[in-house]
Amino acid sequence: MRVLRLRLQNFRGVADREVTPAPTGVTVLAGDNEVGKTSLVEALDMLLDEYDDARKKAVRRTQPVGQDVPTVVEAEVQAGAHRFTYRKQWHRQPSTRLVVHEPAPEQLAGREAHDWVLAVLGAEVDLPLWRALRLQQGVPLEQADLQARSSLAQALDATVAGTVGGEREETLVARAEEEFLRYWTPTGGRRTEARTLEADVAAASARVTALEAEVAGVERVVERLDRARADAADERAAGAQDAAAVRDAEERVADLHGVVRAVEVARGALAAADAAAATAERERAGRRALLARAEEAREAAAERDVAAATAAADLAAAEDHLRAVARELELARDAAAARREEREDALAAEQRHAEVVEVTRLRAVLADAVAAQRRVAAAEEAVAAAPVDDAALALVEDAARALAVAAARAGAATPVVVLEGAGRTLLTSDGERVLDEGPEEVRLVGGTWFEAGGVRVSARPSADQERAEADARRAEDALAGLCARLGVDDAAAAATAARARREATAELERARDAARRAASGEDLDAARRRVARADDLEGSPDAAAGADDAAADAGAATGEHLRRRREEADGALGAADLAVVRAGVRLEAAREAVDGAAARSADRTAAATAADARERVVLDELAGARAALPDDRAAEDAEDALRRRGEAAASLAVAEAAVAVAGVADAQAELDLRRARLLDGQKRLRAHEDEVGALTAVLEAQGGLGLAEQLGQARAEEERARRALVAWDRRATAARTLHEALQAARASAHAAYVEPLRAQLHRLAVPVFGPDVQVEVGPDLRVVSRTLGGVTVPFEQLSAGAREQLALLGRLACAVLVSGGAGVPVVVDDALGWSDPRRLDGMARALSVAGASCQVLVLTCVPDRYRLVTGARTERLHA
Amino acid sequence: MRFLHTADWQLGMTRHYLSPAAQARSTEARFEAVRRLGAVAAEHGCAFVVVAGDVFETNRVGRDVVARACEAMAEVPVPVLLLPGNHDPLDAGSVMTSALFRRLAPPHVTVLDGTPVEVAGVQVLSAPWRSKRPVEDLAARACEGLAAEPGVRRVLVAHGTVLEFGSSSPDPALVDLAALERLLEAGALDAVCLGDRHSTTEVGRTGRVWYAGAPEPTDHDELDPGNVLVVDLGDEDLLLPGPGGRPAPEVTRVPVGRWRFHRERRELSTDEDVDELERLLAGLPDKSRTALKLAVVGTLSLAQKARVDALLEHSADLLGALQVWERRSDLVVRPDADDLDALALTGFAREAAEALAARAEAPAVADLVAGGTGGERGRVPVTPDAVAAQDALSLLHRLAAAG
Repeated sequence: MRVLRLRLQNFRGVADREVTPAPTGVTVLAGDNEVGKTSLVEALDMLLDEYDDARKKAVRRTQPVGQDVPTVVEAEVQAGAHRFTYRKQWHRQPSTRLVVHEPAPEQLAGREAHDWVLAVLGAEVDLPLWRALRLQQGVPLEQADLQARSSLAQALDATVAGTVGGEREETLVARAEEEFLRYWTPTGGRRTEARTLEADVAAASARVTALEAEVAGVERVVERLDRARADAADERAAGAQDAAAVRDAEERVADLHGVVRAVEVARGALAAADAAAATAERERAGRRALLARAEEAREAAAERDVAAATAAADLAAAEDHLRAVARELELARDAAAARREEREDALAAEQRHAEVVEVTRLRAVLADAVAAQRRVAAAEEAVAAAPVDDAALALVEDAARALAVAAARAGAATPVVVLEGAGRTLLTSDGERVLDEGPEEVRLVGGTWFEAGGVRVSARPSADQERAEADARRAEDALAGLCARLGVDDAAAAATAARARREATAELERARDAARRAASGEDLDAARRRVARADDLEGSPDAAAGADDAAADAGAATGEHLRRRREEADGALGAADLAVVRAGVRLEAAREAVDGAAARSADRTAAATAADARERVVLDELAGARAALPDDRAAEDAEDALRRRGEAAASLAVAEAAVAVAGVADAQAELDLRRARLLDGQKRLRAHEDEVGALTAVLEAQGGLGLAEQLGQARAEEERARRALVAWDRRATAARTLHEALQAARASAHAAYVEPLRAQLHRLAVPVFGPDVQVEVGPDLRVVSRTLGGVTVPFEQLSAGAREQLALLGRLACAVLVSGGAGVPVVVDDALGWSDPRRLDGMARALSVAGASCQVLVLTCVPDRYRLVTGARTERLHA
Repeated sequence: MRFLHTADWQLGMTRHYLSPAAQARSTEARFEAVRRLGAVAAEHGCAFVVVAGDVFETNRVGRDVVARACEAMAEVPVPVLLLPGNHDPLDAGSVMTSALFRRLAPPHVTVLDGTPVEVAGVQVLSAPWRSKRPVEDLAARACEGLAAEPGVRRVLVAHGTVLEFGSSSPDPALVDLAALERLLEAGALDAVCLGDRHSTTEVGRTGRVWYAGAPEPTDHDELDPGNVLVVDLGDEDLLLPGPGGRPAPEVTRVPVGRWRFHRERRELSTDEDVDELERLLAGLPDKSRTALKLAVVGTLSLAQKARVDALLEHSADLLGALQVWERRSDLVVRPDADDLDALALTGFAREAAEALAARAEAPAVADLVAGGTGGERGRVPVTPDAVAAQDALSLLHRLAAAG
């Protein structure tokens, strides 16, 4: 396909533009940014792809903003032998017009025109390749996806003998793979379905085998049953023969009947003789026994009589003994009564004596108590006679001390005069006075005076002195008053009186203690009452007192004596009681002895009576027997019978000897043998019949199961399962075979057609990278690596510039290869932004080379980049 | 005096190539055949029915088969005499002596155990099989010491292969036809009713010895199955004493079978051949009761093979049974240029198709190289790889045809 002319009207920002690219070679469409270069490519796409009435957003957006004007795209295109002008108008009065110029002029409109163009392009142009070969702004580093391009394949196919498929072929590969994966895992393993089918076959086979075994088992049972039936039939036939043989033998035995009969008769006679001899012998023995029994009975009767007499004597002795023992018991009882009385007396005496002793003691106690009471009363009187107790004494002593103090104070307050004048007389208030040789001190108490030489010296006391003297007088009065009240003369007397009271009080305490001791532990009232009772009993108290005294004298000695006497009486009583008990026991024993003896005596008497009776019976019997058959006749009969028996035995021996001579035994033995054989045969027959019964039961049980049909169905099932597995295998094998064949062919085709592309790419790369450049192209037709100066670098690791350059070169190489009828323009939209000036020059040369055989449209805002492209047509685009 | 002669009912028979549903139809058809022959007996005024052996497929049939057999026989309006054959011998496991059968069998059914049976003025002699391996000619044993008696008409019912006149066999159990014919000619016997052969067949030269054949066919190799015989011994009053004085009985075959067993061999090499096959398959009547065994040979293109496959698949759905006789089906798929062009493949896909075609044809080519015919007559040695390649091509054809 070649675009010969393209016109846009009202396409986005482009009001009206027409470009006319060179049919072959490079056309550079240069313009500033936003002048609408990319719109040219888009417009061409829209013209080819969209209906004039398309309402898609992408289509609607091509209308210039704010202008209600139609968008028009018109192109003149060469596609194979066809050249046509194709025009579409959108948005307003949509329309499609087609003017075909070659090969035959024609005009179409609307959908018809659209379809016509698509059909022509579909037949002539590889439209996917047209899109793949664009190097668009924004995605400059992508390599073109060339793998599925049929035109490229055909081009490569034309170049080499290899083959490359198109989209249809790739679809087929995908379907074949899908089919392959229905049966096989990606790694080539069979899918589970195969195992399931195999398991089905195995299960069906197992069922067939099992059923075959079962059927065979039944067949065996049938065979055994048939055999058992045949055996039973055989046995029945043999049994019939055996029965006939038995009958024959029986007849033979019957023929020998006469001889045998004689034996029978002899045997009968012998039996009769045997019986007679036995009877006679029994008779004789019976008589002997009867005689013996009569003797025996006689002896027994005598013996029993003796025993009865002995027992009667024993009874009498026992009764005597009983009476003696009874007497002993009575005596013992009397003795015990006497001992009991004695003991009662001793006990009473002992108790009386103890009473007397006690009453005596109580009298002493009571006397002590009275004496103590009297002493207490005396002591109480003494105490009452000494009124100064310790408290009163304390008061007196306090008053005496107060007096002394007051007197001392009064003395101290009294002035003292010293009188000197040895031998001189002096008158004084107390009378005359003659002075001693030495100075003499005199106290000047109030009223005191001296006169000497006519001079009277009187002492007038001072106030203090008067007060002190008054105090002293009061104290003196107080003491005196106190003493008077107590009835003593002075303080000393008071002290003496107090001491006397203390002593009287102590005596009172002691007397009371004595009284308490006298009454201690005794109920004095009870003692008095007991003593009074004793007095009442004994008569006058005096007498009693006398008796008591006597008793007291006898004292302990008498008490001891009475106790011993009583204890002795206890002992005697115990012994007497024991004697009674023992006599009682003996009496009981004697009674029992009498009872026993009486019973024995009765028994013996009865036994003796019975023995007498038996003796009488036996004697009667004997008498009867003798009357019937005298004793000597019985013995004779027995001897006769024995003789006759011997004769009969001899006759039998003779008869049996005759039978032996006649061969009767052989005939009988034959008969026995036949009979035994018949029985054996019947046993075997029963065994066979049992087996027939058992096997028949087994067969009946199996019969209705329909084993044969089940087996038939199982075989059918096995057949189906096997067919299913074979069919699966066959389909799986087919799928794998096809898959592998396609993959192999595809791989080898890819390998083959890589080479022309690589060669073309290399031709274009030399101007860019230099003569020693090598390019490796992979089976997907993409550049794998570039080798420069011996250094190989994978495509992905190349610089952005180099990648961009190789991406464009790849497209150019492809375009050159398919530049024939199905060729498409290469569109380069503002690429090579990464390339340095030197490489840009090289790319320009490569474009020149490519342009020699195909149409290349370069859209750029930097036209300088392509100045070195040989023969390029440059069109400047203006806003 | 007429009676109905039939044999080889083989009730309870299974066939491994029948689907479960077809098997059920086949089983049912055998019971239906019994009912129909009962109707035939009534229609032709038969006095009784003899079944000359193989009443049951085996002695090991299920309760249901016994029950349904008895039910079907109950609808036969005349006495039915059953002979145990090699399939159901009168051995210890005989189904006809089983408690179930004795309980269910209608009163007019008699099992022939070798004891002569008098029915409608005819003495029926029988030679039942008592085991699967008899060691003597059972028919001869049944007729031991037999001689013509005035006014006595005898029919022998036997089962097995006849030893034809003049031939010999080491098998002592074969029925000696010559001996029987002597008895027939002597007037000791009036007719011999045989079973075992499934095709209705007259044997010997007396016109009195017949195989009735199976009333429902059982396999593909039967020539004339599906019949019963109405045997007319003639009017008793017309009986003439002496040998050769009696006319041969009138034997009429009456079809009762519903199933058909076909065997077809087809050469398939052209579109016309495939058309022919299609017509054949479409023209089969009563398809659900038809068992077809098909042998196909020839060389087909991919497209033709795809058509054949589709045809057979469709027929398998319709027919009672369709067996493609594989052992003799040398159907070679040989993709021709048109096939490959029709696939419209380019590039490697076409190469792959061509490579597969080469593999598919390799045995044929080798055969040609070795001086053979290249399999044109359908006798190409087939290798697994060639089959795989053919199948792969068919698959490719299918995948490509999917668009």
